[in-house]
Amino acid sequence: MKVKVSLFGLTDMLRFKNLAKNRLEAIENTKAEKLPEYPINDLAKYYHPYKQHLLIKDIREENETSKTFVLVPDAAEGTSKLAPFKAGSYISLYVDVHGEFISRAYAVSSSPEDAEKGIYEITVKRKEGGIVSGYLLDEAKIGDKLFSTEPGGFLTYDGLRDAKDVVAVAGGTGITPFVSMAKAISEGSEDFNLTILYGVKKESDIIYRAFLDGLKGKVKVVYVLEEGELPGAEKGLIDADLIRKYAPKGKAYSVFASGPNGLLDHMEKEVAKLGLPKKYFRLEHSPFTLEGDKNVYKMKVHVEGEVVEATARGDETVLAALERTHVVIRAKCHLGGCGYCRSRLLSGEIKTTKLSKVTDVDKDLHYFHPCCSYPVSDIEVEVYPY
Amino acid sequence: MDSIGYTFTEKEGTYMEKKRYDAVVIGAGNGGLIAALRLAKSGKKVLLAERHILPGGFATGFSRGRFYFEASLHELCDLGHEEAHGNLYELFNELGIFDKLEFVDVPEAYCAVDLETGERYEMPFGIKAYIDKMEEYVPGSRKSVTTFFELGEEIQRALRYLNETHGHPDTKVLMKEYPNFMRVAVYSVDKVLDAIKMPKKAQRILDTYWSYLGTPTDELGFVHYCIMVYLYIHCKAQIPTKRSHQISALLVEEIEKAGGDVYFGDGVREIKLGKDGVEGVVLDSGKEIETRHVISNASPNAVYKDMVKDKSLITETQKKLVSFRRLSGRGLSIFLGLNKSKEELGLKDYSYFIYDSLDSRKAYEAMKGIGNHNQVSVVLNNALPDASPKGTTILYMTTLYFSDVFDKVVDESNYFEIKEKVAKGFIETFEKATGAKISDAIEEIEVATPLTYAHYTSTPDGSIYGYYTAGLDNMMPRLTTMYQEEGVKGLRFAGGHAARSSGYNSAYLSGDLAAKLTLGDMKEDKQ
Repeated sequence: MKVKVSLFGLTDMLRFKNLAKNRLEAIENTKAEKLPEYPINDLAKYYHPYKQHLLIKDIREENETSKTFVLVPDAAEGTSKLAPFKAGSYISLYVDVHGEFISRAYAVSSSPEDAEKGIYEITVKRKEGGIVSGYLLDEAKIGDKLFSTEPGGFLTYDGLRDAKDVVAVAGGTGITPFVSMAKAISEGSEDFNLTILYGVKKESDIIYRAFLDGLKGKVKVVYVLEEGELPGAEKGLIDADLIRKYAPKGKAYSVFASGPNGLLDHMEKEVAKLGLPKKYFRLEHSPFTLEGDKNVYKMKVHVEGEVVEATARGDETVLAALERTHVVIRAKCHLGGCGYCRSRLLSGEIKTTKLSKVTDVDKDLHYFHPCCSYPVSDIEVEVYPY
Repeated sequence: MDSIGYTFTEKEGTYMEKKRYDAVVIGAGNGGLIAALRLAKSGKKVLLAERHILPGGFATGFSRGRFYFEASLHELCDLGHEEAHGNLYELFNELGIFDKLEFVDVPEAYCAVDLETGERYEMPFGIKAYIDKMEEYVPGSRKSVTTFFELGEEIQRALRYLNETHGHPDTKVLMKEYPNFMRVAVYSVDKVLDAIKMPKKAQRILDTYWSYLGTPTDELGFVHYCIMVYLYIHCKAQIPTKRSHQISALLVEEIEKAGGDVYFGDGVREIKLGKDGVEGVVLDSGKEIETRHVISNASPNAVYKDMVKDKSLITETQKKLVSFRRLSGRGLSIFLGLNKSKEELGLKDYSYFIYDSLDSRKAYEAMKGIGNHNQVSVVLNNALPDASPKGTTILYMTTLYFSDVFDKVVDESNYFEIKEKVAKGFIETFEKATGAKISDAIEEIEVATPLTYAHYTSTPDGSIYGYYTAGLDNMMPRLTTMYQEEGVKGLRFAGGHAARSSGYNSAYLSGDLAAKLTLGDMKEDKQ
């Protein structure tokens, strides 16, 4: 090497030799303090709890087919506070249905301020043949214990991303995230203009009626009835023309949609007519179901080195089969997109709904999301416990 | 005990089955993954227990809408190609994973922007090209910048020698073969650059990468910085074509192929210590595992504070070490999916280092406050054109907070508001520095804060750079004493909080080192 760093004296060599000694002495001369607390880690646990133990505090009937459940923290199980959330979020609720914990995602209809007071509200609508909705509507009672994940979801308002004016399209219980947003706006934790187009079949299907009728200021509600008349309400199905009618004129607006998948498919076509940039259209699906076959397949489940032999039906998701087998895994969105139920298919074949989102890397390594996958042969899976 | 076994212990009148492993690795971050792979490939029965649902720690990704975001990797250092490569290249090849991964070169070294003066410098990869470009910006800098890279080459060789001699180098060899290395070893970046008479302006441009190590150049060890810059400029930087999750997921696959077990969603909550060191671990699920060896990818702070119940079993040196050191930067990143192409946005460079000042001390001080908008921002599509759908761009900006300001600002109700407010500031600063208008093109946005990092990796205070590297806790002094600092028997550390400090390559290499030391410990067990 040509270069010689000569500006340092010979003492540099000595300094180098003393480096170890100096460091060891410095460590030795340090007083061992008590290990500090890390407030950020405590806040992280508060905002992102691993599991929230809940109690049903109250049950309200909304109409013939739906009830609202008031959930509070279950201190006896170690949950003293509820995680805050952005209005429009959901929780994945684990319900003890006769000894089987079955999970479903429900939008939180209460407000972020309610959460600070220790309350989440969810509204459950009866689904034909629905195990969880049937159980909750017919059998669940005040004082029952359940648990949930932390809140999550992407149908939330972001001031840097979304337009200041939002036209919300809601169908059926799809109104619940917008109820939460409306509350957040009146409480001041969210600041945007919200016009809700609430589509129902008939007047008696409207839930949260008193609350919605009382809204004013930045939030406006328009009922859209398929059947019957109601003063001030629109008739028919929500379409591009109706959105245009209620959207602000001459400025940008976002469209948020939530409800049954049929409605959302329809909205995708209608919104396309509006010529909105993709960023101004956000929607939250309901879980997709596939037809499936009537076969009963063998399912071998590996959990931390243990093996459980069970069955999986062709017309149920692998998640449902696992829950039926008393294997509880972490499932959050139930749509196939959040990744929390990431599991591995060791052998056999599955088919997935169109919402399944798995990276190329994970596809190659046979990872899959049980929440949106149906078996089409005997399967062997590795899952991770919750 | 080289094989898996079961022990039956009587507990509350029933027989509990306890699994037994040669070693348990806590956490599947970069360090933990490599440690587990090395042990498994050495024929040891190893359990890697990860609390999160994904491997990688920071080396992971996530989806939002039609975008798949890289969670943390800007560019790999120390990898390179056959003709010019670093240690990571050798490690990945030795472990048989290099050929299973696909990398692309990052197009250029960096674009540095000084917000105070408006200066902007675009630096290329390749030592000759870099020196030429610097001469263009700072006439008269050629000689000193050339010297800098010559030092880098010598330091690389010297560090290899130190590594091969396991902390017992022969001083005569050092003096003969690596005299310049010895001369510069104890000094800061600024001291050495002054000594080799590098013009101040050239120093500022050369210092740009300082935020990759998180210490301003008046305190940062020259050896540490010089080797990093040398490796980047000489070997160029790479990224995996399918993002860092590609590496993390492959490592899990390889560990399992080599006979190791990997658990997700079940971390280690307790390390059982006895008078003779490690006796086992307890998982979050309550399962007890017997083992004599633990490699922790979790920080010493977290281990000693939360995982070891009887603090009297922690050695005095370890207790003092935790007090002796302080945490480095707490991370914050903003991930943007933009609905315009990089051409429409006018973003030509891959990485923009945007500082209040190119004087690292000034920028560092500004990074202690919540008003900090210093950032390293990456336009991913400039390295991977297909990283996002046609007509869109992925841009992510990362910063560090060099104080506990986040603890003070965030409370139990304002977090979402703070995130949006902070993100807005970074976006505005980026627009000002680059002239690109991005705020009206945001289709997806996600903000990861120190809370996010604490949540996903349990890192203390959301620190993403391990311990602050300065003074006697710089990389050089750490490396000279790491064999002499008395630890807890059977417990070794890997990852960003281990001796080599943070960064992907350091974390990977630390995992390999921890595994090799553990293999040595296992031999001692037998004697």
